[in-house]
Amino acid sequence: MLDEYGLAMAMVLGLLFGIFSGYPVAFLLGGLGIIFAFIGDIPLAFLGTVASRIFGGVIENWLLIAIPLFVFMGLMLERSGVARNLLLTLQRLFGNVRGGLAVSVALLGVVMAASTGIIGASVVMLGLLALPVMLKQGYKPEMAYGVVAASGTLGILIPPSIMLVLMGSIMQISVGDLFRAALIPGLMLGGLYTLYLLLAAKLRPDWAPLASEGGGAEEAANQSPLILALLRDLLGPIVLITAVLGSIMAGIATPTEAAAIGAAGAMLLALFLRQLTIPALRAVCRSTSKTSAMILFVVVGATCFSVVFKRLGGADMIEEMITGTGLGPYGLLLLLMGLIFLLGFFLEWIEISFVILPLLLPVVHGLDFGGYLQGEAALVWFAILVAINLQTSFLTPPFGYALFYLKGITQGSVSIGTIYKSIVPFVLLQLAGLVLCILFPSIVLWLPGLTE
Amino acid sequence: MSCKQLRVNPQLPGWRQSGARWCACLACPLIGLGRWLGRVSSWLVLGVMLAVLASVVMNALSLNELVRWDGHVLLLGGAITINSMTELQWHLFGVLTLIGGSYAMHANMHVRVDMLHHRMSPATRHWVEIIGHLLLLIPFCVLIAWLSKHMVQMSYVSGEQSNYGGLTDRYLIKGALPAGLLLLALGALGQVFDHLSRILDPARDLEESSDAG
Repeated sequence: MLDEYGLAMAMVLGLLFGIFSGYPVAFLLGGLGIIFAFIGDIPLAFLGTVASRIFGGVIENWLLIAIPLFVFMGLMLERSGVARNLLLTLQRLFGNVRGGLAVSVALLGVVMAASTGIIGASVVMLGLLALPVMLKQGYKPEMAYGVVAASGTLGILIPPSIMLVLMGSIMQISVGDLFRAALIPGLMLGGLYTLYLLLAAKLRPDWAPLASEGGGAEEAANQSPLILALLRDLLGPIVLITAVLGSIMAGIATPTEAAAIGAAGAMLLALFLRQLTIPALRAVCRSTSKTSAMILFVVVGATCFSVVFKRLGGADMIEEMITGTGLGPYGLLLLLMGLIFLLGFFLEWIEISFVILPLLLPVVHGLDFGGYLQGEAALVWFAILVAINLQTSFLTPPFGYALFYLKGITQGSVSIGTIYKSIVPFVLLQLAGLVLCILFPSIVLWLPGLTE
Repeated sequence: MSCKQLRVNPQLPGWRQSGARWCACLACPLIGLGRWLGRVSSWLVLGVMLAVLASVVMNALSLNELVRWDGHVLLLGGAITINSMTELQWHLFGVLTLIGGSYAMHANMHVRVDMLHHRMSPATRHWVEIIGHLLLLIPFCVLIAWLSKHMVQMSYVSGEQSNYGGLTDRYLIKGALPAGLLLLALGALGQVFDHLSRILDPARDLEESSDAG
């Protein structure tokens, strides 16, 4: 094994070492590809295919155009105050339901996180937006932090999730199918969260006080009537999200077209709120450019890495190692899920989708679960399981990545122990959801019509 | 980033101060270029959006051709058709992404795993960037840019254009790939000088730490 795959293994070790040095992953991937191409004496002409692959796989890839547009939509909704107004109005709407505010935050997380893309950014954004409101109303930190972290990560699953767009591109399956497949599991998890929040608030009323008991009520006096506020703050985002998702699900629009409509719609909403100023637009355009380049350059670097890695026999090595375990399809599935769960402790979904997933794909293609679980259906199912799995991994103490971001925005005022405690129920709910989707694949495959 | 003179730090030997100043002056134009291009090109996202919307509208109205004229215009050829709009989407997207890569680097936005990184001393962190840029990023950019020369040349010589009556002059967007990578390499060189100046004179870290593009 060592003689045959020595260089491929060295490449993996180089990757691990480099990743922990903290050097940007996109550049690390590209550079390692070049270095190992020289060590492995790969002809330059072969390396020339990297350039045409980057051109074909990134620049000419019409699917990826959706990424800057979805990022633009999310940032625009945030910058123009649409997100904040949405939360405040939901807070008033659910003001008299115990735990209602927490449910509102979960809802907001689903609507917003979907479009900002990376976990770190959406958890920070949701935290900055929602934590002050919750703590002011007297919510116990043990409850508030869990809601923010869990809802911030739910966005990688619930469409329009950028991760699903990328997975469709990598695994060459329809993004429309993936979006349809993710909807029921996403709503199911959202539903489980809501049930838990309402139940916890009922059992421990002091953890989730009502607006009238806490400190959030004094603003209510000089506000417009609730019905007007609802029309103004709720209708816009709901119409926008429905238009974007509905057109993809119904197959009327491609994800790219829907994303452009969403971006334009977010600008219109900002215009109605009189927030569409040149400085705001400039700031949103600049952040969009940086955020989407950050995602797409991992694709550029990973292209170089995987071309060289495959040439050095790396893909065969991984396949041999995994099939060498002699496990059946379900055993392999659990093995892959365990591996991805562990990797999720220290990698963003971007690296996992672009570096790890392509390496595992040959194994996944070979999995045959019998019945309707083969071919495209098996791939869609696997992709959704990976999404739920990663989301769980990002939340799981002690390494969960979302938790560190959350700790970051509290500026040391809350101990990491409190955050761990607040997240445990959500991790259990996530695991329950994951197990349900593994045991009953039709939860995932029914909506896209892949159960025949 | 600015080239302004910083207050003199009396504890440092003279060579470190002048070295830091030299490095900062070398870094300034290289980083400035990437930032400036990044700011300007970030507006292209609106162009991408409009191009997608335009092709949606043209599709809905079954409008195949917007205008046609005599003679050849760079990139557009002789007409604006629905396929020009479709291809314009990824042309703009490509330029936005390629320049955005440098822009994100100067704003320190690229994904990194910071579990150990944020526990390192500032000097170690600077060395990680310097070694990484010199050993990994710059060779990658330069080599791939050089290797894509052939692709661009072929495209130019053969007069490659859309097969569906869309945009012409495909060599322009193919040439954007090496151009973007070279811009990134130049920016990385600027970053190397910038990190060196911060190693030589640690006071620079404190004064410019909250500096984003």
